[in-house]
Amino acid sequence: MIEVKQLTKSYGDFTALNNFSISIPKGSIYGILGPNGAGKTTFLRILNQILPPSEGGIEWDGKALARTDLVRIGYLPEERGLYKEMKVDDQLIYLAQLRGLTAEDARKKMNMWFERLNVEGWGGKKLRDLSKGMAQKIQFVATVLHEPELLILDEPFSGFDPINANLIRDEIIRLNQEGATILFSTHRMESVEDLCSHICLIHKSNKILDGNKQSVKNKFRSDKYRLHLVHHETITFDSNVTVLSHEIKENVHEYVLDLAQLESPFTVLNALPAGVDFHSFQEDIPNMNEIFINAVESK
Amino acid sequence: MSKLGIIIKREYLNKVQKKSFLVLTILTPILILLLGGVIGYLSIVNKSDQEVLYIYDESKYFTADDFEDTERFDFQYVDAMDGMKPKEYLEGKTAHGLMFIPALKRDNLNDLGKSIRIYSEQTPNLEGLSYLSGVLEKRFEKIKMEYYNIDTDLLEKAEVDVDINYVSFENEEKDKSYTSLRIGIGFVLSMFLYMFIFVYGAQVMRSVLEEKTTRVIEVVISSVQPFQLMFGKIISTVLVVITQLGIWGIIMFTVSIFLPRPNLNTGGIPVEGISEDKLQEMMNSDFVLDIMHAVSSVDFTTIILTYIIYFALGYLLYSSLFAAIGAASDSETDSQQFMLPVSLPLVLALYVGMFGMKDNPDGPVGMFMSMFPLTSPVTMMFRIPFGVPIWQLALSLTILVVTIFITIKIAAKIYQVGLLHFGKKASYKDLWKWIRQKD
Repeated sequence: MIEVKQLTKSYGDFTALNNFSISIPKGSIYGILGPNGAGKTTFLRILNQILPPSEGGIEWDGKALARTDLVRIGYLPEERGLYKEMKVDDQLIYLAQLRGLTAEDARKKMNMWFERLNVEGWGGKKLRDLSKGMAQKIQFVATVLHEPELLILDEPFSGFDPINANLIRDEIIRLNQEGATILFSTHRMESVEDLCSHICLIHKSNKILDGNKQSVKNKFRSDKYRLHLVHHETITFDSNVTVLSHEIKENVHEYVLDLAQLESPFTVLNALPAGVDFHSFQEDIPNMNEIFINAVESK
Repeated sequence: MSKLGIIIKREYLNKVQKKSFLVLTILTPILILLLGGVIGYLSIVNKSDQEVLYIYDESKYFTADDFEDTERFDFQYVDAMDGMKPKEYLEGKTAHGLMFIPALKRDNLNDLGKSIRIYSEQTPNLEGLSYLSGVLEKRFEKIKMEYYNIDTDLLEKAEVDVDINYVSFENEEKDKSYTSLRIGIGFVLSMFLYMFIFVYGAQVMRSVLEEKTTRVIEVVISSVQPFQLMFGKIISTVLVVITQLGIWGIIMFTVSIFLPRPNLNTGGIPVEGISEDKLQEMMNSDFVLDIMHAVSSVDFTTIILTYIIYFALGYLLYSSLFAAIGAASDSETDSQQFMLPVSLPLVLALYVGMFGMKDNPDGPVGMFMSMFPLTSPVTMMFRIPFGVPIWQLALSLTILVVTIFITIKIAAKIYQVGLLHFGKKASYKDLWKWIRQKD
């Protein structure tokens, strides 16, 4: 469990992060979402002890975060890059050594990762000879080689091509299942919705909301449902049901209904007349983008 | 291995394994040897090219015997020009030119001395000019002396050589003369220091810039403190210098083994055209004794010791400044604006040392510049061969060490903040803000 307590970072008059508190449960996939310039990278840099906070602090399992904790952290910065003139294996081993691994251990683990990501035989190549996609894979290996308990990924999917992005996504999920806590930031909220278990929305240096993804979503439920049918005669709904919209796309009628007045949404289905060709019925759960806009507006 | 050790190892191997390092290390001595050979060869070629210089003497003060041919010139005395102009006379002849000594007017030799001309299409030859003016001056002086009734033979007999020796109180055996030798030592030492600080300081800067431009820096400083990284770079560069010097030492040693050299114990067999007798004679000559005396009069232990200390401290000071410059810049062109104020004192120290200090190395300028920390490493090298009072050395070193501590603190601050400062060009105002920024 990582407790972030009232973190503030300011540069002169500019406050990059303001009184920011969250808790990141062990084993979670925690997404920090917000537009560019919201303060996400500042927070990740403080967590990586690259930047000192102006105020506040961070505790990991009850103890104040220390430099010795850095070997437990893997960090993929938004600004990617490795030594161009260095051989892939040399620099992976170098970076792993800086994170506390011995050279032999680092080599063993590197070979395992090479196998896993289908990049065997690249060790002797210089980075400048690799394609961008290849370099991205190496960069990911550099982040996870020392088996960090906490994996911090700043905009993990930006810069990756779709195939690599999927590969990385699968690896992130697998590392999480093996026990690693994953913390990442992104401004593309829709891209990570199904990935994270916990989220925090951040806007203009301030936290807007945080918590378990499901509870956040529940908070923004609006009893809106989407009903798809094919029918030829006119349908009338119960008086408790408000029809928010009605559209016909290729003979399929789509109704968006507000069912706040009903005890159970299924009453709508039960009341459908015979002869109606039923397609689907689902709750219209707001996506992260909508939640974000909603939350910013309500603040 | 500690993190610092890991960093030093990587930085060191990275530099030493570069092709440019190998090429530079092996090619430099070869190039120097080649250059020496080429210069030697060219000067031989140049010298063997003897040219004719005609001399027409209207004043009739000179005879053909006054001008002995030199390696460069074959002097040909012209009796009469038959009213021809120098240009007409030279037409169709392959010659360097024609020296025209006009007839004496108003009995004024000084006037005549100023009206001698060499007509030539070629660039003036300094060697020849100084030889000719020497001959003419001597002759004119003699004429004047005769005019004033001065006995030139007596004058020659009356000549006395005076050689004043400075003797220090600490060691009366060692005199303080041989100024040119000391200037030479000072010059070589400071030039070497200057070059190394620039070449290797710039290497530290480039290494910082590389990490910034490739953006690997954020990964690295999430594992180690920027200060450790900066120090790793500075120390690894020192190791590279030692390696390079070591390789040069080995090359020089090997070359000296294989090069033929005169052996003093060859028992009368001539070596390279010099017989043992001749060699002995040379060894006993005043000139060789003088040089040996001069060399032994210089306190090499002190020089080497102070050199190493100033070299190390000067390098530390400048490389931390260069590291900060690298961190504050986004590209090498970007770094130029900060390079100037840092390199100016160093350049100034070298030039003042070369041209402004040799008459009085202990004067106020030398004194000030050997205390001012940005110039003291270079300036002291000019002064050390002449002997520097111990209190001045102590003061200069104290100032330097204190400055280094302050500079490293400031440089580390700029380094730390600058590393993650991408895109926008940093100004001096930015730097000031970074330095004052609280942790």
